[in-house]
Amino acid sequence: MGLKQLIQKCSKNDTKAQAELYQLFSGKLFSVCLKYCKNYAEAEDNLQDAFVTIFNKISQYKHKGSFEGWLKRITINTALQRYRNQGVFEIIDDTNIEDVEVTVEDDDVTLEFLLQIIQELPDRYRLVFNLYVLDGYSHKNIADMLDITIGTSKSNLARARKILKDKIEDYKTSLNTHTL
Amino acid sequence: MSDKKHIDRIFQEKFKDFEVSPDPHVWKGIQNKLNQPEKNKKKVIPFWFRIAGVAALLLLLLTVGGLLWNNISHNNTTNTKVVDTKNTSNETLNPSTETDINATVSNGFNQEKNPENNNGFNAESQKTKDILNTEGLKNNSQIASESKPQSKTNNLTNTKASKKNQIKNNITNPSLLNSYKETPTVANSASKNQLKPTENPKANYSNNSRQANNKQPTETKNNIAANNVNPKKETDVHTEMDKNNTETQLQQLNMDASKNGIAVEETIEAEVEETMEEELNKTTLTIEEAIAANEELIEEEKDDIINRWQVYANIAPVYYNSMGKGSHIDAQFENNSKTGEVNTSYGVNVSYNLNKKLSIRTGLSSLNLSYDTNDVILYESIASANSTPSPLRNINLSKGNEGLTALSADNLSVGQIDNSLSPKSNAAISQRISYFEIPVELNYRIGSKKLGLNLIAGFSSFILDGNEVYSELNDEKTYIGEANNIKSMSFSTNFGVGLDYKFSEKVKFNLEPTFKYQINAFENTSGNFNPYIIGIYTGFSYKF
Repeated sequence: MGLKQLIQKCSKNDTKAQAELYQLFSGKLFSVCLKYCKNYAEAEDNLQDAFVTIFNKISQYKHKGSFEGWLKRITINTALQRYRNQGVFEIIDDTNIEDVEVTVEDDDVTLEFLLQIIQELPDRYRLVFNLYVLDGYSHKNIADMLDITIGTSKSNLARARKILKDKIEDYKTSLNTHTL
Repeated sequence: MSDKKHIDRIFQEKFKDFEVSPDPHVWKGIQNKLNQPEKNKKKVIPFWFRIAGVAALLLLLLTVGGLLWNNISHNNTTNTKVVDTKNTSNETLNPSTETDINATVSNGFNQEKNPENNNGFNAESQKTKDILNTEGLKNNSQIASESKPQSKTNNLTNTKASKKNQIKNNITNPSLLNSYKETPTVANSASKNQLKPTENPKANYSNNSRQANNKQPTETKNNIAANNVNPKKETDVHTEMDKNNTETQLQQLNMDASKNGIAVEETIEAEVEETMEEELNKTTLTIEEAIAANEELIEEEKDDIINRWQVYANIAPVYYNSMGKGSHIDAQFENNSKTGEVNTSYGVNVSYNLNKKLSIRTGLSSLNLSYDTNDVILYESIASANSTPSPLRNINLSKGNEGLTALSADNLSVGQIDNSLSPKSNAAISQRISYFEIPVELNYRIGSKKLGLNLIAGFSSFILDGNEVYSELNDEKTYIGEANNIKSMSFSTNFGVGLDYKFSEKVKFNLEPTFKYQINAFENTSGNFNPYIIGIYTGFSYKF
């Protein structure tokens, strides 16, 4: 069964088709949720909400652009909404922070660790970092999506990078001290 | 091995193929959420249930709100009035040393009029009529011994009918006072400021009740104040006047004090006495009046609060027919003649008066309807006509009648009727329906207390109770089955105009011609089959 057919069946609320679609994409989309949310439980909630939206709106999908991209956008939007709704965006206008290049040594930094430090970031930093670095959105897009200025988006990114770099370095030194 | 890499690259590379399969319970949650709205859709909720719910909520809020508002407004009036008297008394106290008679005249008035607002409700609480009466008599006798024939005559007429006297008294009293004070205009304006003229009788009642309260052991604020005043009036008027001037804690005391103070400065003892007497007269005159008035007030309030619920039992001849040509049986009967029949409906309504004009009501009625489709040829078909759908497909035929089929006689010329037709020709198909009806209606009443005109609008839910189809031939009825296209739940919009006539406080006769337009009574009808019900509901309602 082709993807197009599957989508059509889903838009008719075919339960089997919905289950199949979920099987196909839940892994990919759950990883998105894990990156954008601050912990595992919220990621699960977010995935659930995202899929409910997906199945409710699948009939509106116009078969333009990649379907996976469409799913991902819904998932990301669900996450953005989650943190927008919670009103946790602290308003810090830190436009003065310059964009410093942060370089770290690529050792055996585990994926789990990287995910953990992403989740530990303050909400807005996490969203901006994810959007810009991992999902390739421009600062202009991010500014629109989060209702902030481009400058704020840039400085948020810089701060996020700085925090992440510090955490990676700390991690390494702790590893080294353990091995020594 | 370590490379220097941009931090973005590290993350990008690590997360490139990042995929985590979620826990199965997430999928279950999604399924649950997806299924929920569908379940909701399946439920048949009469759409006015929500409206009724909102109405009920509104009603509750209005009742609670109304009660609260009443309490608050009562409190407010008393509060503001208390403040008023304080201000005026203070203002007048200060210049009292300079013998400002005008001010004191008005002050005297204020004093008399203002406390009423405080006492209006206190008076309700007084129960010892007897004590009051005797006190009233005492006062009367005192006055009689002292002076003023005009007021004495008033004293004698302590009946309800003396309301008019009361008002007169109110009007004449200022003039009496003014007659020996110098500038009446000031006094008048002062009293006007405090009260509208129409409130004057009330003022006196409550003033009286204050006086009456003085003698009771149960004391309110005002009573205390008045208690303090009275002995002075009667005994210490001359000795304690100066002292009184300085005491300013209790407002009423103040007023009396200021009055007394001026009297001293004027040093016209007679006048002081006169004013005292007048005051006494005024107050003692109408103790019974006050009680009567208060009782009336209480009754009125009871009227307002308690008589909100009403039960209405009704019976009605109902006529059932359809607007527009159409048939609930089959398209070929669209042009047949149809007869609506008159049946009965009976039931009980409960109504709640939102205010004097508007009430909301609901209830339960039993409703029987019947509707005939005439000129139908019913016959047993020999070959089961599978090729075309049976014209009686909307009827579940009973045992023994399974082979029955029908033709509209209008569609046949006489010659076409052949031998295959059974004797059951040119019959009528009679549809009998009985419903339980639950109306929710708003009733707007205009008219006098005795006779009223009601405009009624609302909705009804019909719950199907019985459903039978008969064939009728030469007044002979045969049960042939039941319709399968009548919805078990249907609705109507209702409009009615009612007349009511009040026999007594509790019992009313009602006559309400009502038109009910059914919205979704049948499925699979042909043509414009729009059934309606006309009922002339008559009955008696009983107020609680």
